[in-house]
Amino acid sequence: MRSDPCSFADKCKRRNRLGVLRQLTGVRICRTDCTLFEALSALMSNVDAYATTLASLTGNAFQAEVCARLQSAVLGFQTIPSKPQGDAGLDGFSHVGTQGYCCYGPELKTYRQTRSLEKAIVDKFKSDLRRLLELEFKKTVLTCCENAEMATILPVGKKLMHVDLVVNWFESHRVVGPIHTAFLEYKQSSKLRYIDANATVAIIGPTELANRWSVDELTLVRAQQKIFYQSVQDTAKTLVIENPKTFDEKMTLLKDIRPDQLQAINSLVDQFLNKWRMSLAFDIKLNETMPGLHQALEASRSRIVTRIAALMLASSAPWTELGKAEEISRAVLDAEFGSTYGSMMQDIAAGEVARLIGECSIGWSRPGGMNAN
Amino acid sequence: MPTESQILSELLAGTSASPYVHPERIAPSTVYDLQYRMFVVAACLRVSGKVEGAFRKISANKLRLLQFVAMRPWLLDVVREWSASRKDRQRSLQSSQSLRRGFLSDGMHDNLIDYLVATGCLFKQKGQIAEPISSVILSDLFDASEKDGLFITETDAIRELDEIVITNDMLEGW
Repeated sequence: MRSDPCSFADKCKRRNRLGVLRQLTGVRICRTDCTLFEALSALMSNVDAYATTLASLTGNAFQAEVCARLQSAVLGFQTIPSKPQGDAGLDGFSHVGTQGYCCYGPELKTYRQTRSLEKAIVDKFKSDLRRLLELEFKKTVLTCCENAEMATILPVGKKLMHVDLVVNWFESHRVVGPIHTAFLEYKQSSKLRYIDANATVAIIGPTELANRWSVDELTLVRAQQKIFYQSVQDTAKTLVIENPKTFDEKMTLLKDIRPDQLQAINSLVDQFLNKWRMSLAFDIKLNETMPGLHQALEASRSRIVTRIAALMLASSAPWTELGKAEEISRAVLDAEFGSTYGSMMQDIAAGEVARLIGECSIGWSRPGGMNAN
Repeated sequence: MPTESQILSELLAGTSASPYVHPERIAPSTVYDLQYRMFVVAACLRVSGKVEGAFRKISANKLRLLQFVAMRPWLLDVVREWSASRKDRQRSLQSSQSLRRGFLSDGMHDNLIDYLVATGCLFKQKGQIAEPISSVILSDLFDASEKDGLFITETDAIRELDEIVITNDMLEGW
Protein backbone atom coordinates (compact mmCIF):
# COMPACT_ATOMS: atom_id res chain seq x y z
CA MET A 1 0.00 0.00 0.00
CA ARG A 2 1.29 3.39 -0.92
CA SER A 3 1.88 5.88 1.87
CA ASP A 4 0.13 9.22 1.82
CA PRO A 5 2.56 11.65 0.16
CA CYS A 6 1.31 14.44 2.37
CA SER A 7 1.84 12.64 5.66
CA PHE A 8 4.43 14.07 8.00
CA ALA A 9 6.46 10.86 7.88
CA ASP A 10 6.56 10.97 4.10
CA LYS A 11 7.58 14.62 4.16
CA CYS A 12 10.38 13.76 6.56
CA LYS A 13 11.63 11.02 4.25
CA ARG A 14 11.52 13.34 1.26
CA ARG A 15 13.25 16.11 3.11
CA ASN A 16 15.97 13.79 4.35
CA ARG A 17 16.54 12.54 0.81
CA LEU A 18 16.57 16.10 -0.44
CA GLY A 19 18.89 17.09 2.38
CA VAL A 20 21.36 14.40 1.41
CA LEU A 21 21.16 15.41 -2.22
CA ARG A 22 21.61 19.07 -1.44
CA GLN A 23 24.35 18.38 1.02
CA LEU A 24 26.18 16.39 -1.60
CA THR A 25 25.75 18.95 -4.34
CA GLY A 26 26.35 21.77 -1.89
CA VAL A 27 29.64 20.35 -0.76
CA ARG A 28 30.73 19.61 -4.27
CA ILE A 29 29.71 22.98 -5.56
CA CYS A 30 30.93 25.17 -2.74
CA ARG A 31 34.13 23.52 -1.71
CA THR A 32 35.68 21.50 -4.46
CA ASP A 33 33.98 22.09 -7.75
CA CYS A 34 32.84 25.64 -7.37
CA THR A 35 30.59 26.55 -10.26
CA LEU A 36 30.49 30.11 -11.33
CA PHE A 37 26.98 30.86 -10.21
CA GLU A 38 27.50 29.29 -6.80
CA ALA A 39 30.61 31.33 -6.25
CA LEU A 40 28.82 34.45 -7.27
CA SER A 41 25.80 33.72 -5.15
CA ALA A 42 27.67 32.80 -2.07
CA LEU A 43 31.26 33.77 -1.69
CA MET A 44 32.14 36.96 -3.51
CA SER A 45 31.74 40.69 -3.16
CA ASN A 46 29.65 42.46 -5.77
CA VAL A 47 32.72 43.87 -7.50
CA ASP A 48 34.47 40.50 -7.65
CA ALA A 49 31.28 38.78 -8.67
CA TYR A 50 30.70 41.31 -11.46
CA ALA A 51 34.26 40.96 -12.74
CA THR A 52 33.92 37.18 -12.77
CA THR A 53 30.59 37.41 -14.54
CA LEU A 54 32.04 39.70 -17.18
CA ALA A 55 34.93 37.30 -17.68
CA SER A 56 32.51 34.48 -18.32
CA LEU A 57 30.50 36.33 -20.95
CA THR A 58 31.52 36.00 -24.56
CA GLY A 59 30.61 37.38 -27.97
CA ASN A 60 27.48 39.47 -28.27
CA ALA A 61 26.49 38.81 -24.65
CA PHE A 62 29.75 40.36 -23.46
CA GLN A 63 29.38 43.35 -25.73
CA ALA A 64 25.77 43.85 -24.69
CA GLU A 65 26.71 43.81 -21.01
CA VAL A 66 29.64 46.19 -21.46
CA CYS A 67 27.41 48.60 -23.37
CA ALA A 68 24.67 48.31 -20.73
CA ARG A 69 27.25 49.01 -18.02
CA LEU A 70 28.68 52.02 -19.82
CA GLN A 71 25.22 53.30 -20.58
CA SER A 72 24.30 53.24 -16.90
CA ALA A 73 27.57 54.79 -15.73
CA VAL A 74 28.57 57.26 -18.45
CA LEU A 75 26.20 60.08 -19.25
CA GLY A 76 25.82 60.35 -22.99
CA PHE A 77 27.20 56.93 -23.82
CA GLN A 78 26.06 56.02 -27.31
CA THR A 79 25.93 52.43 -28.56
CA ILE A 80 26.50 51.76 -32.25
CA PRO A 81 24.14 49.22 -33.83
CA SER A 82 26.14 46.76 -35.90
CA LYS A 83 23.29 46.03 -38.31
CA PRO A 84 22.68 46.62 -41.12
CA GLN A 85 25.62 48.76 -42.17
CA GLY A 86 28.18 47.58 -39.58
CA ASP A 87 29.65 49.45 -36.63
CA ALA A 88 32.78 50.66 -38.42
CA GLY A 89 34.89 49.04 -35.72
CA LEU A 90 33.43 51.14 -32.92
CA ASP A 91 30.95 49.64 -30.45
CA GLY A 92 30.13 52.88 -28.70
CA PHE A 93 31.27 56.40 -27.92
CA SER A 94 30.79 59.02 -25.22
CA HIS A 95 31.94 62.52 -24.28
CA VAL A 96 30.37 63.98 -27.43
CA GLY A 97 32.27 61.66 -29.70
CA THR A 98 35.70 62.09 -28.18
CA GLN A 99 35.90 58.80 -26.32
CA GLY A 100 35.43 55.51 -28.12
CA TYR A 101 34.88 51.91 -26.98
CA CYS A 102 35.65 48.62 -28.73
CA CYS A 103 34.63 45.28 -27.22
CA TYR A 104 35.91 41.80 -27.74
CA GLY A 105 34.68 38.70 -25.93
CA PRO A 106 36.47 35.66 -27.35
CA GLU A 107 35.17 32.20 -26.51
CA LEU A 108 37.92 31.35 -24.04
CA LYS A 109 37.29 27.59 -24.10
CA THR A 110 38.32 27.43 -27.73
CA TYR A 111 41.87 28.60 -26.96
CA ARG A 112 44.03 25.87 -25.57
CA GLN A 113 47.13 28.01 -25.26
CA THR A 114 47.47 31.42 -23.68
CA ARG A 115 49.64 32.48 -26.58
CA SER A 116 46.92 31.89 -29.14
CA LEU A 117 44.41 33.79 -27.01
CA GLU A 118 46.82 36.71 -26.68
CA LYS A 119 47.29 36.71 -30.43
CA ALA A 120 43.54 36.66 -31.07
CA ILE A 121 43.03 39.67 -28.78
CA VAL A 122 45.91 41.59 -30.30
CA ASP A 123 44.76 40.82 -33.84
CA LYS A 124 41.15 41.78 -33.14
CA PHE A 125 41.96 45.13 -31.53
CA LYS A 126 44.59 45.97 -34.12
CA SER A 127 41.97 45.29 -36.76
CA ASP A 128 39.46 47.58 -34.99
CA LEU A 129 42.07 50.33 -34.68
CA ARG A 130 42.95 50.06 -38.38
CA ARG A 131 39.29 50.52 -39.25
CA LEU A 132 38.99 53.56 -37.00
CA LEU A 133 42.15 54.99 -38.52
CA GLU A 134 41.00 54.06 -42.04
CA LEU A 135 43.89 51.76 -42.81
CA GLU A 136 44.19 48.34 -44.35
CA PHE A 137 46.96 45.99 -45.28
CA LYS A 138 47.52 45.49 -48.97
CA LYS A 139 49.75 42.45 -48.83
CA THR A 140 52.06 43.64 -46.06
CA VAL A 141 51.85 47.33 -46.77
CA LEU A 142 49.70 49.57 -44.60
CA THR A 143 47.61 51.76 -46.87
CA CYS A 144 44.84 54.29 -46.39
CA CYS A 145 41.27 53.37 -47.15
CA GLU A 146 37.92 54.96 -46.46
CA ASN A 147 35.72 53.91 -43.59
CA ALA A 148 32.58 55.56 -44.90
CA GLU A 149 30.36 54.58 -41.98
CA MET A 150 32.46 56.56 -39.50
CA ALA A 151 31.18 59.75 -41.01
CA THR A 152 27.65 58.78 -40.04
CA ILE A 153 28.61 57.66 -36.54
CA LEU A 154 30.68 60.41 -34.92
CA PRO A 155 29.29 63.95 -34.58
CA VAL A 156 30.53 66.20 -37.38
CA GLY A 157 33.92 67.66 -36.62
CA LYS A 158 34.60 65.43 -33.64
CA LYS A 159 37.59 63.12 -33.30
CA LEU A 160 38.24 60.39 -30.79
CA MET A 161 40.76 61.44 -28.14
CA HIS A 162 40.80 58.11 -26.36
CA VAL A 163 39.69 54.56 -27.13
CA ASP A 164 38.97 51.93 -24.48
CA LEU A 165 39.51 48.41 -25.73
CA VAL A 166 37.33 46.25 -23.48
CA VAL A 167 38.07 42.54 -23.39
CA ASN A 168 36.77 39.63 -21.30
CA TRP A 169 40.27 38.25 -20.61
CA PHE A 170 43.17 40.45 -19.54
CA GLU A 171 45.59 38.28 -17.66
CA SER A 172 48.69 38.79 -19.72
CA HIS A 173 50.73 41.90 -20.30
CA ARG A 174 51.74 40.51 -23.67
CA VAL A 175 48.70 42.03 -25.30
CA VAL A 176 49.62 45.52 -24.09
CA GLY A 177 52.80 46.30 -25.97
CA PRO A 178 51.76 45.07 -29.41
CA ILE A 179 48.47 46.98 -29.34
CA HIS A 180 49.99 50.27 -28.13
CA THR A 181 52.87 49.94 -30.59
CA ALA A 182 50.48 49.25 -33.45
CA PHE A 183 48.33 52.23 -32.48
CA LEU A 184 51.33 54.59 -32.63
CA GLU A 185 52.38 53.11 -35.95
CA TYR A 186 48.86 53.33 -37.38
CA LYS A 187 48.46 56.96 -36.33
CA GLN A 188 51.56 57.84 -38.32
CA SER A 189 50.16 56.23 -41.47
CA SER A 190 46.60 57.48 -41.06
CA LYS A 191 44.93 60.60 -42.38
CA LEU A 192 43.50 60.92 -38.85
CA ARG A 193 40.03 61.92 -39.98
CA TYR A 194 38.30 60.40 -36.95
CA ILE A 195 41.11 59.94 -34.43
CA ASP A 196 43.08 62.79 -32.92
CA ALA A 197 46.86 62.79 -33.40
CA ASN A 198 47.32 62.76 -29.61
CA ALA A 199 44.70 60.08 -29.02
CA THR A 200 45.41 57.29 -26.57
CA VAL A 201 44.20 53.74 -26.08
CA ALA A 202 43.82 51.60 -22.99
CA ILE A 203 43.05 47.93 -22.63
CA ILE A 204 40.34 47.28 -20.07
CA GLY A 205 39.75 43.81 -18.65
CA PRO A 206 36.81 42.59 -16.56
CA THR A 207 38.42 43.60 -13.26
CA GLU A 208 39.32 47.05 -14.52
CA LEU A 209 35.80 47.63 -15.80
CA ALA A 210 34.23 46.30 -12.59
CA ASN A 211 36.45 48.55 -10.47
CA ARG A 212 35.82 51.65 -12.49
CA TRP A 213 32.39 52.35 -10.96
CA SER A 214 30.54 50.92 -7.99
CA VAL A 215 28.65 47.70 -8.59
CA ASP A 216 25.12 47.46 -7.27
CA GLU A 217 22.77 44.50 -7.11
CA LEU A 218 20.94 45.52 -10.26
CA THR A 219 24.15 45.61 -12.26
CA LEU A 220 25.13 42.23 -10.92
CA VAL A 221 21.75 40.65 -11.53
CA ARG A 222 21.64 42.00 -15.08
CA ALA A 223 25.02 40.48 -15.87
CA GLN A 224 24.22 37.25 -14.09
CA GLN A 225 21.01 36.76 -16.04
CA LYS A 226 23.15 36.38 -19.11
CA ILE A 227 24.99 33.42 -17.62
CA PHE A 228 22.14 32.07 -15.56
CA TYR A 229 21.13 29.61 -18.23
CA GLN A 230 24.63 28.21 -18.44
CA SER A 231 24.90 27.99 -14.67
CA VAL A 232 21.60 26.12 -14.41
CA GLN A 233 22.86 23.69 -17.03
CA ASP A 234 26.12 23.23 -15.10
CA THR A 235 24.29 22.58 -11.86
CA ALA A 236 21.86 20.21 -13.60
CA LYS A 237 24.83 18.08 -14.63
CA THR A 238 25.82 17.64 -10.98
CA LEU A 239 22.34 16.60 -9.87
CA VAL A 240 21.24 13.02 -9.52
CA ILE A 241 17.55 12.19 -9.46
CA GLU A 242 17.68 9.67 -6.72
CA ASN A 243 15.80 6.49 -7.53
CA PRO A 244 13.25 7.76 -10.08
CA LYS A 245 11.42 4.47 -9.62
CA THR A 246 7.95 5.62 -10.62
CA PHE A 247 9.23 7.34 -13.71
CA ASP A 248 11.20 4.25 -14.70
CA GLU A 249 8.21 2.00 -14.14
CA LYS A 250 6.07 4.14 -16.38
CA MET A 251 8.65 4.15 -19.12
CA THR A 252 9.11 0.38 -18.82
CA LEU A 253 5.38 -0.03 -19.20
CA LEU A 254 5.45 2.24 -22.21
CA LYS A 255 8.09 0.00 -23.76
CA ASP A 256 5.88 -3.03 -23.08
CA ILE A 257 2.97 -1.31 -24.74
CA ARG A 258 5.03 -0.05 -27.70
CA PRO A 259 7.83 -2.59 -28.24
CA ASP A 260 8.13 -1.27 -31.81
CA GLN A 261 9.32 2.13 -30.53
CA LEU A 262 12.10 1.21 -28.11
CA GLN A 263 14.64 3.59 -29.60
CA ALA A 264 12.26 6.52 -29.57
CA ILE A 265 11.24 5.75 -25.99
CA ASN A 266 14.87 5.52 -24.81
CA SER A 267 15.58 8.87 -26.41
CA LEU A 268 12.44 10.32 -24.82
CA VAL A 269 13.52 9.05 -21.39
CA ASP A 270 16.92 10.74 -21.75
CA GLN A 271 15.35 14.01 -22.80
CA PHE A 272 12.83 13.97 -19.99
CA LEU A 273 15.46 13.18 -17.37
CA ASN A 274 17.82 15.90 -18.65
CA LYS A 275 15.10 18.47 -18.49
CA TRP A 276 13.87 17.25 -15.14
CA ARG A 277 17.38 17.90 -13.80
CA MET A 278 17.30 21.36 -15.39
CA SER A 279 14.03 22.04 -13.67
CA LEU A 280 15.49 20.93 -10.33
CA ALA A 281 18.58 23.07 -10.83
CA PHE A 282 16.38 26.08 -11.62
CA ASP A 283 14.43 25.37 -8.45
CA ILE A 284 17.62 25.27 -6.34
CA LYS A 285 19.00 28.48 -7.83
CA LEU A 286 15.85 30.44 -7.11
CA ASN A 287 15.49 28.98 -3.64
CA GLU A 288 18.98 30.10 -2.61
CA THR A 289 18.82 33.77 -3.33
CA MET A 290 15.36 34.70 -4.56
CA PRO A 291 12.73 33.16 -2.29
CA GLY A 292 10.05 35.40 -3.75
CA LEU A 293 10.60 33.99 -7.22
CA HIS A 294 10.81 30.48 -5.82
CA GLN A 295 7.40 30.96 -4.29
CA ALA A 296 6.13 32.02 -7.70
CA LEU A 297 7.63 28.86 -9.18
CA GLU A 298 5.84 26.72 -6.62
CA ALA A 299 2.54 28.43 -7.37
CA SER A 300 3.15 27.95 -11.11
CA ARG A 301 3.70 24.23 -10.58
CA SER A 302 0.38 23.96 -8.87
CA ARG A 303 -1.34 25.77 -11.74
CA ILE A 304 0.38 23.55 -14.30
CA VAL A 305 -0.83 20.30 -12.77
CA THR A 306 -4.33 21.66 -12.27
CA ARG A 307 -4.65 22.77 -15.87
CA ILE A 308 -3.24 19.59 -17.35
CA ALA A 309 -5.41 17.46 -15.09
CA ALA A 310 -8.53 19.43 -15.94
CA LEU A 311 -7.91 19.06 -19.67
CA MET A 312 -7.09 15.36 -19.55
CA LEU A 313 -9.92 14.41 -17.25
CA ALA A 314 -12.50 16.34 -19.23
CA SER A 315 -11.40 15.18 -22.65
CA SER A 316 -12.54 12.17 -24.63
CA ALA A 317 -9.08 12.11 -26.20
CA PRO A 318 -6.81 12.47 -23.16
CA TRP A 319 -3.63 11.52 -25.04
CA THR A 320 -4.15 14.47 -27.34
CA GLU A 321 -4.41 16.70 -24.29
CA LEU A 322 -1.24 15.19 -22.83
CA GLY A 323 0.54 16.37 -25.98
CA LYS A 324 -0.30 19.92 -24.92
CA ALA A 325 1.22 19.49 -21.45
CA GLU A 326 4.47 21.21 -22.30
CA GLU A 327 2.66 24.02 -24.04
CA ILE A 328 0.51 24.57 -20.96
CA SER A 329 3.53 24.37 -18.69
CA ARG A 330 5.40 26.86 -20.85
CA ALA A 331 2.48 29.30 -20.88
CA VAL A 332 2.19 29.21 -17.10
CA LEU A 333 5.92 29.59 -16.51
CA ASP A 334 6.27 32.31 -19.15
CA ALA A 335 3.73 34.43 -17.35
CA GLU A 336 5.94 34.50 -14.25
CA PHE A 337 9.46 34.09 -15.58
CA GLY A 338 9.32 34.66 -19.33
CA SER A 339 10.55 38.22 -19.25
CA THR A 340 13.57 37.34 -17.10
CA TYR A 341 14.49 33.79 -18.01
CA GLY A 342 12.71 33.48 -21.35
CA SER A 343 15.25 31.42 -23.24
CA MET A 344 15.33 28.59 -20.71
CA MET A 345 11.61 28.26 -20.11
CA GLN A 346 11.20 25.65 -22.86
CA ASP A 347 13.52 23.25 -21.04
CA ILE A 348 12.08 24.02 -17.62
CA ALA A 349 8.55 23.46 -18.97
CA ALA A 350 9.54 20.01 -20.28
CA GLY A 351 11.26 19.30 -16.96
CA GLU A 352 8.09 20.11 -15.09
CA VAL A 353 6.12 17.64 -17.25
CA ALA A 354 8.77 14.98 -16.54
CA ARG A 355 8.43 15.75 -12.86
CA LEU A 356 4.66 15.26 -13.05
CA ILE A 357 5.20 11.84 -14.60
CA GLY A 358 7.95 10.97 -12.14
CA GLU A 359 6.05 12.10 -9.08
CA CYS A 360 2.92 10.11 -9.87
CA SER A 361 0.56 12.87 -10.97
CA ILE A 362 0.26 11.75 -14.59
CA GLY A 363 0.47 8.15 -15.71
CA TRP A 364 -1.02 5.41 -17.79
CA SER A 365 -2.12 1.88 -17.17
CA ARG A 366 -1.60 -1.26 -19.21
CA PRO A 367 -4.60 -1.99 -21.42
CA GLY A 368 -6.90 -3.92 -19.13
CA GLY A 369 -4.26 -3.97 -16.39
CA MET A 370 -2.87 -2.14 -13.36
CA ASN A 371 -1.43 1.36 -13.11
CA ALA A 372 2.28 1.90 -13.47
CA ASN A 373 2.80 3.56 -10.14
CA MET B 1 10.07 19.78 -33.87
CA PRO B 2 7.71 17.94 -31.53
CA THR B 3 8.03 18.46 -27.81
CA GLU B 4 8.65 15.57 -25.42
CA SER B 5 5.03 15.49 -24.31
CA GLN B 6 3.87 15.46 -27.94
CA ILE B 7 6.12 12.46 -28.61
CA LEU B 8 4.75 10.74 -25.52
CA SER B 9 1.23 11.59 -26.61
CA GLU B 10 1.82 10.08 -30.05
CA LEU B 11 3.34 6.93 -28.55
CA LEU B 12 0.34 6.38 -26.33
CA ALA B 13 -2.36 7.56 -28.71
CA GLY B 14 -2.36 4.46 -30.83
CA THR B 15 -2.75 2.13 -27.86
CA SER B 16 -5.59 1.21 -25.59
CA ALA B 17 -3.60 2.26 -22.50
CA SER B 18 -5.73 4.26 -20.10
CA PRO B 19 -4.53 7.56 -18.70
CA TYR B 20 -4.91 8.66 -15.12
CA VAL B 21 -4.25 11.94 -13.38
CA HIS B 22 -3.73 12.36 -9.65
CA PRO B 23 -3.18 16.07 -9.00
CA GLU B 24 -3.20 15.38 -5.26
CA ARG B 25 -0.07 13.25 -5.61
CA ILE B 26 2.15 16.18 -6.52
CA ALA B 27 4.53 16.71 -3.63
CA PRO B 28 4.88 20.36 -2.69
CA SER B 29 8.35 21.72 -2.06
CA THR B 30 9.30 21.12 1.54
CA VAL B 31 10.28 24.76 1.86
CA TYR B 32 6.57 25.61 1.86
CA ASP B 33 5.59 22.83 4.19
CA LEU B 34 4.06 24.25 7.35
CA GLN B 35 5.16 21.41 9.61
CA TYR B 36 8.69 21.43 8.26
CA ARG B 37 9.04 25.15 8.75
CA MET B 38 7.53 24.90 12.20
CA PHE B 39 10.18 22.33 13.01
CA VAL B 40 12.94 24.67 11.79
CA VAL B 41 11.62 27.53 13.92
CA ALA B 42 11.33 25.15 16.88
CA ALA B 43 14.91 24.01 16.36
CA CYS B 44 16.17 27.62 16.13
CA LEU B 45 14.41 28.46 19.38
CA ARG B 46 15.67 25.36 21.14
CA VAL B 47 19.28 25.65 19.99
CA SER B 48 19.78 29.42 19.92
CA GLY B 49 16.97 30.74 22.11
CA LYS B 50 17.60 32.04 25.62
CA VAL B 51 15.26 31.25 28.49
CA GLU B 52 14.04 34.41 30.19
CA GLY B 53 11.33 33.92 32.80
CA ALA B 54 8.44 32.01 31.34
CA PHE B 55 9.64 32.37 27.77
CA ARG B 56 12.31 31.09 25.45
CA LYS B 57 13.34 34.08 23.33
CA ILE B 58 15.30 34.81 20.20
CA SER B 59 15.86 38.01 18.21
CA ALA B 60 13.36 38.14 15.32
CA ASN B 61 16.09 39.16 12.89
CA LYS B 62 18.41 36.41 14.03
CA LEU B 63 15.63 33.86 13.72
CA ARG B 64 15.02 35.03 10.16
CA LEU B 65 18.66 34.41 9.26
CA LEU B 66 19.00 31.13 11.19
CA GLN B 67 15.95 29.48 9.67
CA PHE B 68 16.96 30.58 6.16
CA VAL B 69 20.45 29.11 6.45
CA ALA B 70 19.22 26.01 8.32
CA MET B 71 17.19 25.08 5.25
CA ARG B 72 20.16 25.85 2.98
CA PRO B 73 23.14 24.65 5.03
CA TRP B 74 25.60 25.09 2.18
CA LEU B 75 25.37 28.83 2.91
CA LEU B 76 27.11 28.42 6.29
CA ASP B 77 30.46 29.41 4.81
CA VAL B 78 28.99 32.70 3.67
CA VAL B 79 27.74 33.53 7.15
CA ARG B 80 31.16 32.67 8.57
CA GLU B 81 32.86 35.04 6.13
CA TRP B 82 30.33 37.76 6.80
CA SER B 83 30.80 37.38 10.55
CA ALA B 84 34.59 37.48 10.23
CA SER B 85 34.37 40.80 8.43
CA ARG B 86 31.88 42.41 10.83
CA LYS B 87 34.38 44.70 12.56
CA ASP B 88 35.68 46.07 9.33
CA ARG B 89 32.95 47.98 7.54
CA GLN B 90 35.01 48.27 4.39
CA ARG B 91 35.59 44.53 4.31
CA SER B 92 31.99 43.85 5.26
CA LEU B 93 30.92 45.54 2.05
CA GLN B 94 33.04 43.08 0.14
CA SER B 95 31.27 40.05 1.54
CA SER B 96 28.31 38.49 -0.18
CA GLN B 97 25.17 40.54 -0.68
CA SER B 98 23.20 37.66 -2.12
CA LEU B 99 22.70 35.93 1.20
CA ARG B 100 21.33 39.15 2.66
CA ARG B 101 18.96 39.55 -0.25
CA GLY B 102 17.92 35.93 0.17
CA PHE B 103 17.00 35.89 3.82
CA LEU B 104 15.51 39.38 3.86
CA SER B 105 13.10 38.51 1.07
CA ASP B 106 11.92 35.29 2.70
CA GLY B 107 8.25 36.26 2.90
CA MET B 108 7.19 32.73 3.79
CA HIS B 109 8.95 33.12 7.14
CA ASP B 110 6.94 36.25 7.93
CA ASN B 111 3.74 34.40 7.11
CA LEU B 112 4.76 31.49 9.31
CA ILE B 113 5.58 33.70 12.29
CA ASP B 114 2.29 35.57 11.87
CA TYR B 115 0.50 32.24 11.84
CA LEU B 116 2.31 30.96 14.93
CA VAL B 117 1.62 34.21 16.77
CA ALA B 118 -2.04 34.06 15.77
CA THR B 119 -2.32 30.53 17.09
CA GLY B 120 -0.65 31.46 20.36
CA CYS B 121 2.46 29.33 19.86
CA LEU B 122 4.69 32.40 19.77
CA PHE B 123 4.63 36.01 20.89
CA LYS B 124 6.30 39.07 19.44
CA GLN B 125 8.05 41.11 22.15
CA LYS B 126 10.03 44.21 21.11
CA GLY B 127 12.06 42.70 18.32
CA GLN B 128 12.09 39.29 19.97
CA ILE B 129 10.16 36.16 19.19
CA ALA B 130 9.13 34.42 22.39
CA GLU B 131 7.83 30.92 22.96
CA PRO B 132 6.08 30.22 26.27
CA ILE B 133 7.98 27.53 28.10
CA SER B 134 4.64 25.94 28.91
CA SER B 135 3.75 25.63 25.21
CA VAL B 136 4.29 22.12 23.94
CA ILE B 137 3.44 22.37 20.24
CA LEU B 138 6.82 23.49 18.94
CA SER B 139 8.92 21.80 21.59
CA ASP B 140 7.15 18.47 21.10
CA LEU B 141 7.72 18.73 17.34
CA PHE B 142 11.41 19.31 17.93
CA ASP B 143 11.73 16.51 20.51
CA ALA B 144 9.90 14.01 18.32
CA SER B 145 12.03 14.83 15.28
CA GLU B 146 15.25 14.68 17.26
CA LYS B 147 14.26 11.37 18.83
CA ASP B 148 13.69 9.86 15.38
CA GLY B 149 16.86 11.37 13.96
CA LEU B 150 14.98 13.54 11.47
CA PHE B 151 16.23 16.78 9.93
CA ILE B 152 19.71 16.29 11.31
CA THR B 153 21.22 18.50 8.61
CA GLU B 154 19.06 21.43 9.64
CA THR B 155 19.68 20.98 13.37
CA ASP B 156 23.43 20.64 12.84
CA ALA B 157 23.41 23.78 10.72
CA ILE B 158 21.67 25.73 13.47
CA ARG B 159 24.20 24.43 16.02
CA GLU B 160 27.05 25.54 13.74
CA LEU B 161 25.37 28.92 13.28
CA ASP B 162 25.12 29.25 17.03
CA GLU B 163 28.90 29.10 17.18
CA ILE B 164 29.23 31.97 14.73
CA VAL B 165 29.04 35.51 16.08
CA ILE B 166 26.01 37.18 14.55
CA THR B 167 25.57 40.71 15.84
CA ASN B 168 22.58 43.03 15.65
CA ASP B 169 24.81 45.33 13.64
CA MET B 170 25.16 42.62 11.02
CA LEU B 171 21.45 41.96 10.94
CA GLU B 172 20.24 45.54 11.07
CA GLY B 173 23.03 48.01 10.63
CA TRP B 174 24.17 47.73 7.05
